[in-house]
Amino acid sequence: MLAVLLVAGCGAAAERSAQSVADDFLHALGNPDAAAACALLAEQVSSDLESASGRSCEAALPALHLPAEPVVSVRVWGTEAQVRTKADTVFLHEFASGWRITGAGCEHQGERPYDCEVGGP
Amino acid sequence: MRRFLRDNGLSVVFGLLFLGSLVGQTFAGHADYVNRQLARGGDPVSFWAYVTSSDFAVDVAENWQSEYLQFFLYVMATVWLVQRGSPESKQLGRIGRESDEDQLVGRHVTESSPRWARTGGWRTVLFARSLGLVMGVLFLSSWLAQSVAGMSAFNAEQLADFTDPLTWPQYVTSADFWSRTLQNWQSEFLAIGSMAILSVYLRERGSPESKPVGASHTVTDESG
Repeated sequence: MLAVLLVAGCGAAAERSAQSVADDFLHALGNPDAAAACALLAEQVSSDLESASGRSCEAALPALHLPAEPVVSVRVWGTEAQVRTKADTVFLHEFASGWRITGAGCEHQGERPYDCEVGGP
Repeated sequence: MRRFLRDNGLSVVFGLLFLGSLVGQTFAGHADYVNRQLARGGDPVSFWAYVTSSDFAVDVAENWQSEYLQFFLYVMATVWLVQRGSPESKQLGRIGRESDEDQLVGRHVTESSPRWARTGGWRTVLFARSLGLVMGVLFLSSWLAQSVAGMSAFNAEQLADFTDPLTWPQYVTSADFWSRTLQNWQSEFLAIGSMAILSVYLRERGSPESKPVGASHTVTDESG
């Protein structure tokens, strides 16, 4: 019973904070404000994007034309979250500094991991 | 105090062993959890965050449910099943719920019988099933806790691997849930079966779990 209450209680607060970061990220993509969007990427994701593109994150991210639709659902389990919009699935991880994007522009691949434009498996 | 400890040695010692092992599990589990988080590029998690996490809860609950299942089944199965020569079994001719005379109920209660055994009616019926009922409830509660905590831990892994999380009905029919469940059940059933049959032929002098050293292999329901 304690496990049920812990899961339910922690879930609602974590969903709000994960969604808030996802909202900020999607808003920055739509604005467009690449610097703000890049600041919300996990460090590893940002550096992988820079090394794969040979450009700064601020230059590489807008070129991917990631969709910036409003959030329709949020699912949080432990330190991981999945946020869906009408056109996209975004993954987040909770670091000591807060929630950061670990995958964006992710497409469903059945039982296999999502295929993401930024970050991902 | 010394007398209390002597009279309650089994429960005190096993209570302390349980607490010591649980504390040990929290430290070892935390170190392992931190290693896994770091390997995934995450940050270290605090000790408190770990002991309130679903990872810790599922590891505890999956062992608790199987232990309570073991004792629930042992309590219930030994009503109807016997093992010739085993001190864990009752005598071969006493299969079933036994007579009121054997069980000291109805007209056969004694002055020292527990109050609910003497009262009669639903209280005595409930009291006569109380050990199995409590073990059964503890088993089902622990198993439910395992399923909830297990789903949470499993879904966190799923999201970290960029795959979709499962709902509770999906999780309780998943390979992860049944793998965790059955790996515990098989070891409990092995232990019960081994104890029932080994105690026919082997002895431990002074233990009530064993027959007296000189007792015949064919003697059932006797402890020494």
